[in-house]
Amino acid sequence: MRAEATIPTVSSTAALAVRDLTVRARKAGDLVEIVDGVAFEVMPGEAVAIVGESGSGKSVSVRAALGLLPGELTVAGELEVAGRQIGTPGRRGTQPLHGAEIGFVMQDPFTMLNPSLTCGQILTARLRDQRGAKKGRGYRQRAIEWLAEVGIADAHVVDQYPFELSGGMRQRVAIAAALSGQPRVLVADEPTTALDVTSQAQILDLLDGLRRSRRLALVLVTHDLRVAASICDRVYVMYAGKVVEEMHGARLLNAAAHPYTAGLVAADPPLEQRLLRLPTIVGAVPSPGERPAGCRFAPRCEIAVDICREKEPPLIALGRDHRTRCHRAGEGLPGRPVPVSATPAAAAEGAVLVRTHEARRVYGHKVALAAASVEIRAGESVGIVGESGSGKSTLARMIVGLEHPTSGRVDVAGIDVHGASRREMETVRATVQMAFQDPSSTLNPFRAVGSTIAEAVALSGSDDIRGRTRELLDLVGLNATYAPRRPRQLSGGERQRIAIARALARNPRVMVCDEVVSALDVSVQAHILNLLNELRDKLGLAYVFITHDLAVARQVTDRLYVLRSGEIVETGTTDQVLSHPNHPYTRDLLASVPDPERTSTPTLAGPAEGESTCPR
Amino acid sequence: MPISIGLAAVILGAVALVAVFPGLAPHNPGTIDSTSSLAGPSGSHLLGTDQLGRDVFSRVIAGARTAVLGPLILTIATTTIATVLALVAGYFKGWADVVISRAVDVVYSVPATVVAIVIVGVTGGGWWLALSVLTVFSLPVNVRFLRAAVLSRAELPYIEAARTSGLSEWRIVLRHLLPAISPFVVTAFFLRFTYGIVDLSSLSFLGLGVPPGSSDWGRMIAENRSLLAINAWTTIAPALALVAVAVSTNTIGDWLHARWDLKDKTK
Repeated sequence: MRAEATIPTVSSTAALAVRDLTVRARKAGDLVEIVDGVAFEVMPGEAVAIVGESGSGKSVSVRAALGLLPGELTVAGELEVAGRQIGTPGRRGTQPLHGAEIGFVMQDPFTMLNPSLTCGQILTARLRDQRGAKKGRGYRQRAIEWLAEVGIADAHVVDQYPFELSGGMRQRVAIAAALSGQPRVLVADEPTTALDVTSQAQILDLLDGLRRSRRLALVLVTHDLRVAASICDRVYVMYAGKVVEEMHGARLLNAAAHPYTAGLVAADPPLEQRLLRLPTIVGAVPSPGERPAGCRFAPRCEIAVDICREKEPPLIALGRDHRTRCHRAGEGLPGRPVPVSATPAAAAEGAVLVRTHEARRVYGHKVALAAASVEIRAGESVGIVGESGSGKSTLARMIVGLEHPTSGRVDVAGIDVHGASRREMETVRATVQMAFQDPSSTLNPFRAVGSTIAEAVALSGSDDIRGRTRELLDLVGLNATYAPRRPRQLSGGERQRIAIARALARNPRVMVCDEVVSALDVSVQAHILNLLNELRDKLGLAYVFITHDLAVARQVTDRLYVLRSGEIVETGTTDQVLSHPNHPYTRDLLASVPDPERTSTPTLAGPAEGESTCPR
Repeated sequence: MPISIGLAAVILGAVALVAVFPGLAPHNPGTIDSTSSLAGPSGSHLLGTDQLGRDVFSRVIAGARTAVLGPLILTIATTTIATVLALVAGYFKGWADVVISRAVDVVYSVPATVVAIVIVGVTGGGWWLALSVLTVFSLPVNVRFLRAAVLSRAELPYIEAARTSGLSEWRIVLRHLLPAISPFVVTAFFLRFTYGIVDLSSLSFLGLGVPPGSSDWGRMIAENRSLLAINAWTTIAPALALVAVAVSTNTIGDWLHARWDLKDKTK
């Protein structure tokens, strides 16, 4: 029996230290633990990541430490800032810390900034508070300097409102606002999740630079392992409310000792090669109150033994700065079978099922899509990649008839979707179907999922609706017991499976997948990607796969179109485009994907300043 | 469930009961008994009698039917028509939306109560005319409210998914959109009912819509005002009843609205 590795005494120089953090909530009358005995610390100038999937408790932990949780949750634990004991983190204890000692940046830059104040006013609000004086000229200059520090060189931004800026700019302003109180610690909760990959790279660069220049302690909460590995010195991996591994960021992707961490790393789709099948972790994350006794990961763990199911493992040291919560720590994980690369698909020869010719969509002056001409043949999987505003969703919606082009043609099975008669539309519908992005709103919350599928089946003219519904559920890997359930009873991954089953109900030959995995956790994403590839082999489907994630595109597509601001800038086989890109924009996109192997992030073509979306 | 809701429910339940079974009244509300006119509260006449010796309590109970029935019809009519108009305007948009919205704007710009009084007063019309006029004038608020609800729900992915599957537009509206806005419809119903009671009673208070002498609460308030010093219950009882029912339905409507938290129910 190993003794719990003693947590090293927090040296007086730790910028932020949290010990024994436990957060409880009331769930149906009982007190359940959301987060259990979490401890982390960060030194000045150090960057630490707290990594986990949904349900891990990473956001809750960080917010609890800052006293930002709603009152219904009870918090217990010890908080220490720069050696000063604060006691239990709670609203009263930590209020004076906000801004002055700890800055906080949240995920959504749009709702974080007050829309009725200009950026300058937001930044200098703190100054006004403390001095009680009204704004003076000096404050505006200060604001301009702070903006410059976060990479916004255009002084006009000081007078602009948040809605006039792009997402990346807003996040910079939010960071500047968080730093305006000169804090020692900056806590960022998924700061780049809502941003495009190029903006993400820039913001991560910025955070990295700031922590070096200001000796800032950085705590980064993220679900993205690559992000954590590329800029953080140390990483805490959380699962089901507990820290299960602590290690150096640089080693995260190849030396993880905990089975969960290793599983996550393996499930992350690689950018460089297409795998026949992504490794997955079976099962699902247990919710608070339903966590198993013993090791919380045991039910899903490949190497679990009896003791794992009986007794909860302590954090065990595996060497300097590496701890893992596993009874079998140090035994080494079984070597994973090397994932098999998929053989590159032969160029499709089937009939052209979908063809757009110079399809164009404008809204007033805004060009959403400019003269896109794409082709999808039977049985091939075509990816449409781009960032937000690239027009990829518009194109997808045009193909299924949800939107009509302002000029140009969209042909499905030879029929012009725009002017199609009722009968012709039936053929269109039987040819293309769509699965949508957001698992939480893609299904009617008032209906059982079985009935949602059955409705679509009924439209396909099938005789045996029940049987076919069961068949479809089976196809997507769910058994018949799912049919009477409501969407809110299902997890995100399960809902997406239902969405896919519904799309398949009409036996389409082409399925349009609009960012279907973007809202899913990494391990769930791997399941769905495998499912999609499986379905393609089984049913001979063609895919139109919309995504902003190039690694995902690599796993599912044979050909790619790269869109930028409504225009197709590059096209070719997936391998060509991702391994030997021609267009500078494609190269930028690829360079922006966080890569821990690179020691310095390359400078990017997109300008950081003057990115305002407001035309002047 | 907070106490106020329980109380409201009890009040409404009682009113509904006597509206359906007016025979529960201790006396016949129409019985004229000049000998005991204007008597104070007593054992046999809980709230005393009015000028003509009619039992006030029984009259209030009898008045429940007209107090409730009228607004009920009004509310059902208004809510149904408003829902249909809102669905058409909000989902199909285009010129239908323009026509409906502008028509609604026009009606909205008219001072409803004044015009209702004028129309009913000038034509000397009765109850049904009053109901019809009030229905028309209640539409704007509800159409706008429900149209906004439809707009917020019409773009949801599952509705788009239904369209992509090829479901006919009408089926989409009935099977997907209508359930999605049903919390809004129910809330609008309860709140409309409150206004309905007040509106109709106002009309009958002014002597319009119901014949004199009927045991309608608004009418009773108007007719017995002069008796306030003698038997205050003749006026106060129907007034209290009116307030109680209006507040109860309003409370429940409010509570339903807060309970359903009609922002984004898809999460």
